[in-house]
Amino acid sequence: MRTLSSVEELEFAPAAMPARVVIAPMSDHALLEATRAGDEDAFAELVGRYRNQITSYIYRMTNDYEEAVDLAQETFVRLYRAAGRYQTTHAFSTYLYRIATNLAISELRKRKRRRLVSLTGLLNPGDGGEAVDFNPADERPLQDVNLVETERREAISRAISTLPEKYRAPLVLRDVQGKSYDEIAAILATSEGTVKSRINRARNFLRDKMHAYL
Amino acid sequence: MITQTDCRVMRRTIDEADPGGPLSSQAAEHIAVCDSCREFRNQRVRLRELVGSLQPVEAPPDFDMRLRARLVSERAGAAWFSLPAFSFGRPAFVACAAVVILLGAAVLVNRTGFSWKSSNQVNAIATSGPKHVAEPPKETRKPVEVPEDKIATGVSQPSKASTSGPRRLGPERNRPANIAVKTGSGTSKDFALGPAPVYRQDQSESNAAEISLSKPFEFSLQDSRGVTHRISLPPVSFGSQQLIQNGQRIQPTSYAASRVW
Repeated sequence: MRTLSSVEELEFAPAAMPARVVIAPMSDHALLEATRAGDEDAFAELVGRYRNQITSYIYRMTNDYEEAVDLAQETFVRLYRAAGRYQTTHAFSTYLYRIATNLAISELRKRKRRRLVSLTGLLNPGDGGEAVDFNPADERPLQDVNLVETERREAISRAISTLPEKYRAPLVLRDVQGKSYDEIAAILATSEGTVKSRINRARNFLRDKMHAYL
Repeated sequence: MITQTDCRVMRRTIDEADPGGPLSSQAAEHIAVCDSCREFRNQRVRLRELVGSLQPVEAPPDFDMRLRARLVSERAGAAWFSLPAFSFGRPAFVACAAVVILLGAAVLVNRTGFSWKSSNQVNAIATSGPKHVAEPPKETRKPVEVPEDKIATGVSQPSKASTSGPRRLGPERNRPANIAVKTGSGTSKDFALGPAPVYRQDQSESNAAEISLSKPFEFSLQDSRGVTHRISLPPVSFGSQQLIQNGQRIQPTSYAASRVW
């Protein structure tokens, strides 16, 4: 059992340690079991498998890259800290996404508290009574195809970031991350019917925002 | 004939279908004949393509390094708690803390109980009579004698012994007995249990002058070891109405000349 004593001793990326034995065939559960036993390499493998997914997911939730990276790291820190309490009743990715979702929603709520007054929240309470950002569609003509594509993606990102958090998480998990309904229900700790309903509402909301691109 | 309920059900089915996947035969038949549901489906497909076209974001190259640093700093921060002294776990730590708190509370209660007991002892002594009668040394007794007819009645009824002879202003005036009070460090005697005599200004000033309130008031106390302590109190002052001795007379310095002293 190897214990962590300095920064240099830790290496998470498998590519950075070519001489090391490849442990890719191990399942996530087995890797976490090894992490619980003190195997830092197993934890490095888990981080390598999920760091991009988690960073991308949190980025779509927060629309802030630095914040997303920070929260993704916090996700793994919490995973490492709670490795001893992990139970294999759910898929490992579900467990990890739940941590990430909780962190992202917590961050969104902090932002909401920091925000002074939402203009749209005053004019139009929105679905479910939650305040949403004012984000009018920009319909100016663009000069280049790449610019059009870039602008379209930015518009989608902005539109997603204006969704109320309870609709944003299931929509991102479904349409961006490609998760199944039962996985999303497990991640969000709610029923599958609620997940379907929220995704439907989120798409209707997005349709209204993105009508210029549809 | 297509009803609104059919459209609602079909749209839910379309919305929940996997992207790019085939629709159920019932939904496909419905779409073939319902223009609005067909438009709904096309719109949903375009929307999902738009959202799905978002490029996945990758973690930065220094993600691992930053995570390592974070874990190491977290471990360093928690290292003190994982010392052998703290390695027995949280429940034991809580139990130890509870024991320490209980011990502290017991000590506090013990002290409080002691002082309560002491006050009870004092009450018992006061009600059962004096155990130690204070006898100040004779050389320290300097009572001021006041005739009986110059004394106004006090607040409480004096005992027979105190009213039988001339009243005294001093350590033994109007006192049924001297009370020994036991404190934490030793024994002291209480000399102020009786009511003080009252003198009025309209009474004889010459007699009042005998009181000599402007002089220091001295008395002695004897502790449990037999050591005599002499205590001298400064002249009496009533704030702005300070008594001063002007020859044979005592004059109040206040504006009201008819005050009761």
